[in-house]
Amino acid sequence: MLTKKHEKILSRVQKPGRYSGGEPGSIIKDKSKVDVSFAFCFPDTYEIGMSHLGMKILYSVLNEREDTRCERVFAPWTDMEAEMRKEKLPLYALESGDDVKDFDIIGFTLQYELSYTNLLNMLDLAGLPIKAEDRQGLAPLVVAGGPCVCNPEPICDFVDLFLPGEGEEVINDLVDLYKTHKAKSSSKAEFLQAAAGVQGIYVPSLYEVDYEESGKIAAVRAKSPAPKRVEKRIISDLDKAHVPENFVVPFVEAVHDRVTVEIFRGCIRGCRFCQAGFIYRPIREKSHDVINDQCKTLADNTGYDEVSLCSLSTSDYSQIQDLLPELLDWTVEEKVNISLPSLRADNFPKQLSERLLAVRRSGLTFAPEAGTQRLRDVINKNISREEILTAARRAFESGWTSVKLYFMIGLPTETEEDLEAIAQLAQDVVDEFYKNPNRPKGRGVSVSVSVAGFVPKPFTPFQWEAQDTAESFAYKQNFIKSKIKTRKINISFHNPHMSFLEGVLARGDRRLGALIEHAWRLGCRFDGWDDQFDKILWTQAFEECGLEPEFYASRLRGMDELLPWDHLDYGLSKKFLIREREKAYAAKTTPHCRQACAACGANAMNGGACHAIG
Amino acid sequence: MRLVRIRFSKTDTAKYMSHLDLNRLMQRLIKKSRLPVWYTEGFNPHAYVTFALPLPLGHEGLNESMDIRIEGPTGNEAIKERLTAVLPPGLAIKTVYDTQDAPKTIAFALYEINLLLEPGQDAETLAKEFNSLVKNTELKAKKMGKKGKRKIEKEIILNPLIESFEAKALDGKVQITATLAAGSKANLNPDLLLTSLQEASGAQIELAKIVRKDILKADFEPFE
Ligand code: SF4
Repeated sequence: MLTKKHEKILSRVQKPGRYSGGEPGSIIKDKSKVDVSFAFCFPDTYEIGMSHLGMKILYSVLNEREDTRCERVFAPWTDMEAEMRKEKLPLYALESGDDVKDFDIIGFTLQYELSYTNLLNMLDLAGLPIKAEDRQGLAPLVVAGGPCVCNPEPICDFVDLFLPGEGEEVINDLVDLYKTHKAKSSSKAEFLQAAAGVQGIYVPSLYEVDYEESGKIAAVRAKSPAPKRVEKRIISDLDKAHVPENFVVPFVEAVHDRVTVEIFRGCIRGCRFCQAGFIYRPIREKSHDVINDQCKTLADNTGYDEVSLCSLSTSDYSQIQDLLPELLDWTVEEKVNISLPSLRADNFPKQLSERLLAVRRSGLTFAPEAGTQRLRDVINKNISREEILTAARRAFESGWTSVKLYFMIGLPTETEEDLEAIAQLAQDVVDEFYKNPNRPKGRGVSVSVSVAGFVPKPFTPFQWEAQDTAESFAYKQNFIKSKIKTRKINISFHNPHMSFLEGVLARGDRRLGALIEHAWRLGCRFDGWDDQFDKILWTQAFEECGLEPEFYASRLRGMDELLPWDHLDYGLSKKFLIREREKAYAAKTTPHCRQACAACGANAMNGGACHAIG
Repeated sequence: MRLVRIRFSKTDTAKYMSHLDLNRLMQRLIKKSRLPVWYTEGFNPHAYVTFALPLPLGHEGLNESMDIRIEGPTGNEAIKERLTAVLPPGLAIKTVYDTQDAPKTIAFALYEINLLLEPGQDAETLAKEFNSLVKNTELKAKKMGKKGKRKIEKEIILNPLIESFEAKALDGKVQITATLAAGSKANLNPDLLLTSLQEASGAQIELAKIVRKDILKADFEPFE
């Protein structure tokens, strides 16, 4: 696929292996034998995109189809973009080297709001008009899925249709429908009308939004035949969901460069700030033997020496006692490590954790999220100071010397006391280390504390909250810093302006399309990268578009206000979210789903019963 | 346990792998091939793989050398077959044999370099100039070196590291055939030589295609 032009450009950029293709496991198909070509775009770097399980799954789902070829595309880093623009090389897909603009369907996965400008930039680098209305033919059709699609309104201008919910099945429906319409030479409008009738497809151009003078949404009107509310799609039986038998193994090291197998979807916990914990409901588990087989097949086919079990709150997996011995059975022999991210220290069986540690030592992390028990009750983060300290003590006793703690600032009802308690909790962990009489001599303890700014997200009980301003975040950061008295604690903070922008985009409406376009034209790219994010350009974009970011981020919304994402149905009842919000303000916790059903409504999506509960 | 040498080529898209990338990929490919290789002991066991001479990112190699340790009776033909089955495009096994020369006997490498020129550059003139520069001028280059613990930039003279050099014009390109010092004692990266030639001549090179054709010993015999 490498032409002289490619080679010339690749000789001038950092990490050319990001752009070369040819990795083991990549699937190259005979173009003459397929009906539909699908360019799967990840709007961030190769290293991040190649770590993403969802992309691997959909790449495999699509390439399993004889009538379809799916190829990968990642956002070129700034050096590559400059070379491509200079040499007039349009964005190409890695498998064939074909121009992205010549594909039938261009699909993006949107994992975080700060990648929106990259979506525009990739369309532009492909040589396509960035606005959906300016792309008149059926091809290329621009579609997007991923968690951000639960409020896709800010990027409606650029995308032809969205796929709210889980992609494995709806993507096949989409391709089938596209294929029929391509054969009939339908117009784009005809196709979109038909697509709007499929569950899990949202066609934004078939909805009209009216605004009140105050700027709030007055009404959202669906044009026939689009449904009034679009219901997300879910996979009902995770054991039957498609899992690839092989991964593309990258040349350039990916952030997560290993076998990853999902063990369940959804979460029983209901932490009130956590969007993932709500939008992926209801909980569905995969059987332990299915997981074990999938891990083994992937390890065999990729040659990776690490298998990572992935889900939210991994140790809530109810069959872990069956799964781990099965895994250890072959992984020890074959020198494959097992890693369990998002481990909850509080409920992990000690004996198992020791066997695991013998195989793999990964970092020890805790996410108390808030400094005081009161605030942890507000956010329903069910972990106590004692649990953290006990887990830390156990870790120190078995030879660990470093611990990571994750916190958030700007949570609803937060006071100075809560902020001070962050520093105190970190100090308590340090003290715990020195209480251990058998601590390794001559080695100190290191406690890293990472503090993020809270971003209220759609479909959470905090979707109505006012977010902290960047100034308030900065003030609180300094305050916490001033309370830390030892060099044994390393504290780091998220950029407050980035958290603020994320807050604006997360709960934005359609009027933000103009803002995103303008910011991109001013040169904004890779806004999720500390070293690329440009606060001055974004401020300029807001001013020149006449938009007030505070309207979106810093305003407490009324419970009866029509929200930009209200016409999307993620299975969660608004009553439940309001109930959770009230309990938050009363600092009352909600038991997790296995203790008691909180009637969130998501069970209705899966025939009424929640899986793996009770 | 048997020490086995694998000679392979790394071309096309595979040239965009750095030495570290290649090392990591080989670990995975060997694991995937299920060859009975010897694993290092310790906390994070990995297959024993060593490369005779790292190949810089962007260069192609036609006869690269990598050693592994095989346990049990698997023969060399079987090793070749099983590795070939798992290699991505751009990597190909040429020969597999029981090791002979120690990597420290490597002294030179043989290169073929094709230079595509920017418009307006005359290949004939440049080829002559390059030949004369190598013969008659002291070619210098800056290189990052270490002084104690500090990193410093030092200037080195390239000519003593060039064993043979011949540039000629070919289809509007400049083609260079060169034998350059290689190995742990003295090493000249052809990128460095090209930069130096470019600076001395003012040549405008659009693309340099560098191919390491073989690895040689001090007596110019191929490393085996
Ligand atoms: S329906 Fe009940 S058990 Fe199921 S996810 Fe919602 S709260 Fe949990």
